[in-house]
Amino acid sequence: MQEAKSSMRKINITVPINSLDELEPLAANGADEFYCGIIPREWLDCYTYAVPMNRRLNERASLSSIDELNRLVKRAHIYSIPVFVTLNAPYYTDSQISYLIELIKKLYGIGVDGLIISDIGLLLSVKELDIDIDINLSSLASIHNHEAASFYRELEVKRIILPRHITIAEIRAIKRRIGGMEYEVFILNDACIYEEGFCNTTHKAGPFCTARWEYNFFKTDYLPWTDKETDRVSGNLEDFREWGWYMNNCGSTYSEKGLPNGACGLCAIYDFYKIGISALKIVGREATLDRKLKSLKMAKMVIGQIKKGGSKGSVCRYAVEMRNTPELCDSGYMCYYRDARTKT
Amino acid sequence: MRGTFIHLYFGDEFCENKIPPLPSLRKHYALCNETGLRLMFATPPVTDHGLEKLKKLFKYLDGLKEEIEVVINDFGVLNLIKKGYPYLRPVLGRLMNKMIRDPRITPAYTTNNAPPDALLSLQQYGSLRYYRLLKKFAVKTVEVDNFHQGINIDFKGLGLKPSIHLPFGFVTTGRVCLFSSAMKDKKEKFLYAACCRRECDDYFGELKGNHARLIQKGNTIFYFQEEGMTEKGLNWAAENGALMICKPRLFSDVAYTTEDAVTARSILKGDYNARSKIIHEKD
Repeated sequence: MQEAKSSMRKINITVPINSLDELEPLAANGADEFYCGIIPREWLDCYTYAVPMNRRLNERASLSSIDELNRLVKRAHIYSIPVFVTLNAPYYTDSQISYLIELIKKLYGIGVDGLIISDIGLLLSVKELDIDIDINLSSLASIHNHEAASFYRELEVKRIILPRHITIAEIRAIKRRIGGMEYEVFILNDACIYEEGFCNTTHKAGPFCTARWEYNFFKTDYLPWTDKETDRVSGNLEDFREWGWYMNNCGSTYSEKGLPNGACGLCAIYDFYKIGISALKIVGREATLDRKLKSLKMAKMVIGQIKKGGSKGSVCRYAVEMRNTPELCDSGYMCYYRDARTKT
Repeated sequence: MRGTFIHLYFGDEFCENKIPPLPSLRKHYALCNETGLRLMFATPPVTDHGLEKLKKLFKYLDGLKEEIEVVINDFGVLNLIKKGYPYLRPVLGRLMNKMIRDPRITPAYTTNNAPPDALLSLQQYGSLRYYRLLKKFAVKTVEVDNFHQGINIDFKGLGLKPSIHLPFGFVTTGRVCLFSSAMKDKKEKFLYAACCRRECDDYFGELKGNHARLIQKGNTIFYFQEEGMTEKGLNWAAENGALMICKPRLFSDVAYTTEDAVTARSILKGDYNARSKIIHEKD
């Protein structure tokens, strides 16, 4: 408890937003930062949704015009909430970067505070513009070690958004060795079965990982299967599908308390305070406002417990009791950071 | 014929649990010396734990005081090599190439319905600034998979040598291994930093569906390139002066490289195995 208080610092909740209509309720409930996508008409005319500009394939996930974004930024700034725009395709070609640089000049002109980027070519091009706009490194860059963090620090990113597939211990080690940057971590919703930065599929045909694949299993030595092996391997497929269901927002279900189920790192927030993480990311640009609001409220309530001086154990228990789905929490499959609950 | 084989490609691109121990690396280096092949050592994305493992291996390789190519699939590993191992020559691995490989949808890219600008961008990867940065890190060779939609990158103009994997491309990978989880209690399954007993060497799965043959080995799903697609890749390699990384058996821990399409076809048929030193002499 003492430890958490002594290292108490501001930790932001970064919240997805896809329209001006969402701004007031999210701001009123304590959003500290907004991130959003924008897909201008001319991009779609040229590339269609076959080549997403920001990893999202449906119109609901993004704003469709600079005008709308301009209004959103102005309004957010009244509440002193910064707005980050996602330009986080896994890569861009030279001609796409030329287009994006013109777009970024407009974003800067309307007061966008930062960009979320993973492509190094775009990142370097923005640096050459020499404008005062933050660059946050997208989770697609898949930073799992301190040397990779160091590599991007040299490229002058302001913040690294760490990937989903990482443990608290690994986050702590990276942060300890590579300072001078902010770190953001995933906290609620929409996990992935594979590592996002190394997944070369497209959601155009539906998420590859949550498709209910049928398998034929083989032994590499082609010897007969023992009964134990058969039980283990076929039983494991059922467990794998179950884990996938958890990763996929528990089938978009809600708890009896009306709170959204799905990938969750609430129990890890105490550790993130101690480590000195700057921001907690709520996922789901295309999610409903209701899901965003309830996710935001849950994260805020857990932070409230920490600020009151709760111990790690008590904060963790509070997070579990808040949703009141012990069967989901106890499985461990819903956790972004399973090591959060092994050290209470 | 012997001279047309270039590298013994050894190591693991996908899993830090499969970074080989030093004795195994020594053994494969010795095999290279015996067979006249060069070593190309592949490394996966890593955590700090994996970095420590690699440091020991890099120290050994660098101490040989000869140029050895190391395939990197993590910019942290590239950073590490630049800082401390002057004899190691980084090759940008295929995991660093983010082109779409989704077999459910890539065939549609080659139809007449595909918008030309979209198709072109799906056949390309990277930008001038990106490749310039790679050169600062002494990267001269860049790996690609054999993409269904084709490759339209001017490697020659960029001053880079391409290197293409045949006949297995990877679709997706991550830190969770389906097969190591099979042997664990339910609560211990699907962890990101899990130890394993290399169950991926013992079991594999095929995903059923109406698309390219998909095989799951450990934490990674691969697509198999049928003969026609492999031939397309070989022809592209020949036209672009690419190194062909040939691994006819997905479960072998080595592959071989060549710049000669005839030799590549021979390797892909399984006619070459450096370990048994069976080298088929051909015209």
